[in-house]
Amino acid sequence: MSIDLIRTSTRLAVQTLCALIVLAGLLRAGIVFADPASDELTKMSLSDLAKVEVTSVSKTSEALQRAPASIYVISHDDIVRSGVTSIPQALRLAPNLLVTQTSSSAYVISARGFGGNPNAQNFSNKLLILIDGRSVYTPLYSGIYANTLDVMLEDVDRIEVISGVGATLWGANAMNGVINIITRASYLTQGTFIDAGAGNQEQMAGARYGDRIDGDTTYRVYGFAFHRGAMELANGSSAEDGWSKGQSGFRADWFSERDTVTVQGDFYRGTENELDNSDALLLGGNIVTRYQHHGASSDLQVQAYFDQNEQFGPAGDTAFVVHTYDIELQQTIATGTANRIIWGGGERIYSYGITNTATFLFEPPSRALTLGNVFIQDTAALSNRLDFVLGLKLEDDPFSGWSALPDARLSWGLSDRETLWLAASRAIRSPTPFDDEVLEKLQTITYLVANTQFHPEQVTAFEIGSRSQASDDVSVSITAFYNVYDDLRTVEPASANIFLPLYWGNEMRGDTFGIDAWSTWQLSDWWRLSPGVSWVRERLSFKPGAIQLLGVDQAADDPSSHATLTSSMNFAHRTSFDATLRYVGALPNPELPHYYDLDAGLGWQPSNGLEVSLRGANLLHARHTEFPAPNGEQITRSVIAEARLRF
Amino acid sequence: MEVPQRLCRYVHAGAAILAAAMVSPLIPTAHAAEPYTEDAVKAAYLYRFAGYVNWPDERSTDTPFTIDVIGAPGVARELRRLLPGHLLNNRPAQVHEISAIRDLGGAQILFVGAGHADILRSLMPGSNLPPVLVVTDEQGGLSEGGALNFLTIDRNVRFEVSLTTADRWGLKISSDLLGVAVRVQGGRRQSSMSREFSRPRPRRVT
Repeated sequence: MSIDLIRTSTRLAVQTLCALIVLAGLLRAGIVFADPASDELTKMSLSDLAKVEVTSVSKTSEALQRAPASIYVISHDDIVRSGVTSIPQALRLAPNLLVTQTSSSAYVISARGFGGNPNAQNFSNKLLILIDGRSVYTPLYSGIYANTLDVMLEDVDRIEVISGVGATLWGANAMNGVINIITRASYLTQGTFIDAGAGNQEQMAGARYGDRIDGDTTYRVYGFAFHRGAMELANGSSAEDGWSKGQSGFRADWFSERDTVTVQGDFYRGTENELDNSDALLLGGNIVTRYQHHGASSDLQVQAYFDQNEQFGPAGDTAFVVHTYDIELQQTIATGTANRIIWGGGERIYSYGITNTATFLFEPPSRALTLGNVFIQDTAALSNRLDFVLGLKLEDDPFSGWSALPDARLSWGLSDRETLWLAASRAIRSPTPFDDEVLEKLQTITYLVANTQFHPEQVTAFEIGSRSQASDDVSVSITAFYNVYDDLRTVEPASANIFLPLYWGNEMRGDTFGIDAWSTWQLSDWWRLSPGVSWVRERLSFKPGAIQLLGVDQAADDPSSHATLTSSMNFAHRTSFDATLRYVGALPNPELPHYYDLDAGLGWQPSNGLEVSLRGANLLHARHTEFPAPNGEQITRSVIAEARLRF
Repeated sequence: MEVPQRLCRYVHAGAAILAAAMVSPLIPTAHAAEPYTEDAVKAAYLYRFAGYVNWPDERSTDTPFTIDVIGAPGVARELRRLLPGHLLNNRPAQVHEISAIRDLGGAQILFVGAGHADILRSLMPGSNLPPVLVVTDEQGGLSEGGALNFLTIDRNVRFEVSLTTADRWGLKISSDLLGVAVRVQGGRRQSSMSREFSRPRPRRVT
């Protein structure tokens, strides 16, 4: 960083902090802040306590204190308070993720680098995203279609964001991170909820109703629809990429003493405007069933789901349908008090059909792929403070066959307030049809051919982390990682002398190291500050003898660091103010300067069951670019007013 | 240099207003329906639970009624503020912050903070420990070994109950407590869900 940059950054950070202090001071001094005596609480009955409204500035999101992994939990409260209206926006609350918006509906989500470089047809493809146990990354190229990620945010319990390898438990694609979106059981979402919002960029409305069928069975049904407006092109004209989506769904849970059965599903339809073209169409749905048995010393879970996703580009463009059938079994056995063994297995079938264009072809255009796995993991309590985790997953993917994904972790509770952990693990990004079966043409000239010899991209990761509660009011989590990559995807010429046709090879390797760190400072009952920073250094090189057609930058165009500072405040009269300042470092190639931006929201609860909020996103600039044109559009400032009603 | 001067100005302004903010609690406040912190409400629940649970070995009134807390400094702090001067089940009440199950010393209630429920693996009913009401604070807390588990729904702190776990410890839980619970696992089937949430319905024929 240059001196200027340091100066500017420091100034901005200090200005923001001071502005927050000023605002807090004014509100606190002027409005008179409430500090109710907790003695009143002891006089209340249990049913009165159940009705007491609590402020949400609390430290409940420090779940998984002893987990030997870099886990950040976005709680339900974090989501509601921040006023975000979509999952990608909510993921910005996790300091160990980088979320880059490229158009009205598209986001690039990455952890620890490897956000991709679209100029080389390399996309962020090393993350696994699960919604209630259902995998939602696309099998076609291992990336994420952000337009399929919508859930009813009101029903989300938490989002667990794990940066680093999670392959042994989660498997395929859990290479640089896992995002686990977990919704609440239906007995926790009873009653009616209605919300509606309108702003310059987005208009939305949604409703949910939950009830019980009998003493043991509850359900909820929901529906929502939104329109998100177009972004802008570099020349300031509209990108005409506004989009609309409607989604409905349900969840039913049946509980008995030892058994739980859950059935849930979602159905959606969306249209996306395209510049100078007809609209694109998005259709899909899924049904998930889950059976859980809690035994005296073992738990069993069986889950099966069906998922359908159809994306139709504008007329003449690629269209595809993917059907996913998945069944998984998992058993947890506690042997004595010292060991906890989890073992299981699963089989997934992807069946897809693609409408090829004249220049971009999948060969064959339709087929079924099967992905199978078995795994076992033992957590051994070596002592009261020392846990050792050893696991192995064997995964059979359709292109490269069986792979071993081992994992070893040690968690050492230095005290009840401090945990130190170490991990070594291996993961792969399995080949996809996009690596093995794609043909690309320039008019009639074939310039890229399929490579059935494409290997999985591999990583061996070493991590050391610490999570500590430095005082009642300060918690800190720091993880340092060193990842060794091999067989990274490159584009290769036919031979040293003949250029065309190109093919996808595995001629790059390298290592990355860096730090994920975040902290929570409870400055007072009503004010919490949460800074977070992520820093990564990538050292990639070609293997000996590689032709090095494009530079190492084809693997990724990542900033070396990004950071967030979130402030959450509660004021009198049930008002709250939340703000997140984010910094994203410069992108190297293609270049993009570093930038800061600010999201902020003001919330007010005029009566029980009613909340109104005003939220602004990207407030510092009327428009800014998060990814270089033409792959990234100008993201415009947005403001939305929203009302939420519960009864 | 321009930058340091501007910084100074901001820092001074910020400090002055921060000072005002510090003083402001001295101004008398009126606050009828203002929210409480989650920790304060959980502490009040823990204090209240004692009256709805029957321990098989209720000893003499001389020994203090003890609430042990693991991994929840905020709740422990609230309890320390709240307990002195109060009697719990006619016994003087005290709170201890402990760091491991082995430090559990005859407490009547053990509160395990969010993210710590895995330590309950080394705590089995009947393992030569006096009966203890284990209260957890995370989704799935009941399957980890909590007899009661806090749930935050909307802006209310609620709880669910495992009668199976309570039975194993030989604890008797009053039906008044079950009536307020969001969900009751195990035990008598007709009470398996909260009365508050359920609508009048014909009794199921079993």
